[in-house]
Amino acid sequence: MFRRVAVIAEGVVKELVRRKDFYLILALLIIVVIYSASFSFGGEKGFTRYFKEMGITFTYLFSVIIGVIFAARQIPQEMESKTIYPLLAHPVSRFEFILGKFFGVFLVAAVSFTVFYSIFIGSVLLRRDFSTPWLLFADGYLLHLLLLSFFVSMTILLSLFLSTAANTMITIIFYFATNWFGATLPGYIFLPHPELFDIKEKIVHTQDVIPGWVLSYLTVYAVCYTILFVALSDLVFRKRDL
Amino acid sequence: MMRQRIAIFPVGVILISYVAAVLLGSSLKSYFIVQEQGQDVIQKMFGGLRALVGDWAFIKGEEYYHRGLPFMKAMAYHHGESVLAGRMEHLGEESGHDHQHEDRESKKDLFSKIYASVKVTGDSHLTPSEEKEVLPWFYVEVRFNPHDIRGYSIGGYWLQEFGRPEEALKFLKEGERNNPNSASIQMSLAWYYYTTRDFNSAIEYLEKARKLWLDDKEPNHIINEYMRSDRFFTFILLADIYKNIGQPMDALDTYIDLYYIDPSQNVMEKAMQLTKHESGA
Amino acid sequence: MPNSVLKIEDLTVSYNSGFRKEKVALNNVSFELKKGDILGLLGPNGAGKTTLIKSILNLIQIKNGKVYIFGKPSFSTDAKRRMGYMPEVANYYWFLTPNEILRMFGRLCGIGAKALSARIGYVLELVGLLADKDRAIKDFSKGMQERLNIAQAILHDPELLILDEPFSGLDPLGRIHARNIFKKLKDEGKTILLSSHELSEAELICDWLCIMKDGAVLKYGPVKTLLAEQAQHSLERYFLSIIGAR
Repeated sequence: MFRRVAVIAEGVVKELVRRKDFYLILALLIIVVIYSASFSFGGEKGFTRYFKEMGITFTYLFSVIIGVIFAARQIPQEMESKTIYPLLAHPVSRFEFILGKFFGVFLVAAVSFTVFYSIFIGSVLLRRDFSTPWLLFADGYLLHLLLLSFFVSMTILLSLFLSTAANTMITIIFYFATNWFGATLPGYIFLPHPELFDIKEKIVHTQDVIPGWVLSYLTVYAVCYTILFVALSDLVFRKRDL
Repeated sequence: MMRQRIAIFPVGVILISYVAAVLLGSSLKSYFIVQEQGQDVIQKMFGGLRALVGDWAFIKGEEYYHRGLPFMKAMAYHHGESVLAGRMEHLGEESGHDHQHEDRESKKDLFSKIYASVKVTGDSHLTPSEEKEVLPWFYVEVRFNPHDIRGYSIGGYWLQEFGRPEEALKFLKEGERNNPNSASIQMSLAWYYYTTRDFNSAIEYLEKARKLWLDDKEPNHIINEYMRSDRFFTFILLADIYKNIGQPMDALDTYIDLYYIDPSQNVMEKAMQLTKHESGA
Repeated sequence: MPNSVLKIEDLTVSYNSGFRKEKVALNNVSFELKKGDILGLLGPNGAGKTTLIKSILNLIQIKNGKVYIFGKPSFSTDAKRRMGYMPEVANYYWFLTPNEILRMFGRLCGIGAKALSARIGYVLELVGLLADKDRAIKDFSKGMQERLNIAQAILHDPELLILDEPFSGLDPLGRIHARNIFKKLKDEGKTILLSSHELSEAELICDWLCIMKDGAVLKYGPVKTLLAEQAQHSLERYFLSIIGAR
């Protein structure tokens, strides 16, 4: 089973490498970083927090966008272009197909994020800003990977019901809305809270690392939601006539 | 037939656009002229969005001032008070501003504990050496929304605090060009001239601001604590200057004007002191 | 059922076609294919051929009836491993090359790396795409895509082949080439289910016929027997007489 899941995931990764989206977004990020670094306001330069904020905001945002766009179009594209027929005619179950797509897109998003995050940290260090502890950077990396797994699995589930454009828009809106309003929504305790994985403010303004028990809790939290979304996707897809 | 259809389509589009523009009440002439006053159709459509981005930049500035604590209305009030307090202290007046904030009561549930671990929840300010970090956001605020008076007013104040008076003047002059009827910006310019000891120019700007506050027309309606502080400070500063240059009656008039437009401000004591001094003299 | 390759029992499939309306796409279809049989699945548009094929491949949920492949339920991976499918529309990931696509499908079937390389070389040579094995599929012509279609269906040397309109999109030379490949597979003892509108091609290749209309099987049996029943000499005339008679 793992081999078949890996084969399908590999196909998704190859798509990332051969499409131009990733390189375009990477170029955009580099432009943003360089542009932010050159800012001067009122004759002053060296705004470390502003630079960090710009860098990490776009790093997080672009990796979420890549993950969501890729996730939103996997299954609809396969069905629309009918590439799913020869694929499912081979000895691969629908669950393996869903799992393969999830892992492939997650890998795509994770690799993109790793590249973007490395550029961000590299640029911070190049500016000789050593104020942020390495552990805090590592916390930010881990938590954002968990966030990506959450959004990728959620988007794949939604792709079974919505068009690619609607799915992408709704998921991105959900990302921003939970970031801004997460804990203030009525009945918030019953909703997922991806905003808990966003520690931008901690990285920009503080040197406080995240306690180990919080990291463990959030890991379990993200894994549970991911499993839930993937399981629901399988349940829906299993009964879908192609 | 096909060519006729193709010809009719662009003509139809132009006609419909013209009618729509007329109905929206815009002057089509203004579409081709870059102007500072009035708004054409495109500005009307996107104006709200620019204001939104400007507000977001202000929120970020507030967040930075409070070391990453997410913006709350109460914080804006405190920041406004801090700016006012800074100016009042310069005048030798007691600010009455407590720089310490009450700690928010921390909840004990698991969600709150986790939230407190991953977000900034403690309230504190940037140290003096770090305060310049707020500056970019005020620039962003006014770039996106040149009619965001608050951005110019606070940005100008911080530029002066960071020892960049020329930049402050440049910034505020730009604000004045974009918002010629703003009392807050007139007050901020007056404050610049006051700190550079040019009292004549300060009085000129303060009198303009005073008139604008008394007229109470847009954009000078009091809609937040920043504006209330700016209005208060306009009259206090003007009265202070009049006192210092030996024009106590003008100072008294100023206090009386302030009292009439905002009786909550306790200026009558200052006015009484002035009259006692005069009668004593 | 030791010799049974494909067995369909009382298969009924229906779709929702409006408020409280159902369209019956397949109505109690039953037949059996034995090893080495070449079955031509014929019928006008909307007869249910594609629905039948999708049901065999488990692309449609079967609520009534049963489908067995080599004695196992059609949804089992064992059954799928012994079956090859050539879809009507030859669409593959545009960003891959034939080599990569075949490697991907080969790995899904569990073929080892060495054997897979050899097998890929063999099938690409068979369909005439060896020279283009590292060319991106997005640059392929329709005919080349159809040939790739055949290649992926036979890559893992399946015992049962399901071919949906295998001649569509092929030029006359391409058709001859494809026909030769299917004849070769027939000689190797493969079992083939072939759905086609090309009656002349079906007549050349098939031993058995299944003629469908409106979701039901009208006629099923050996080609020669069926033609003799109606004293017809050509499949086209026979087909038209069966369809027209109902």
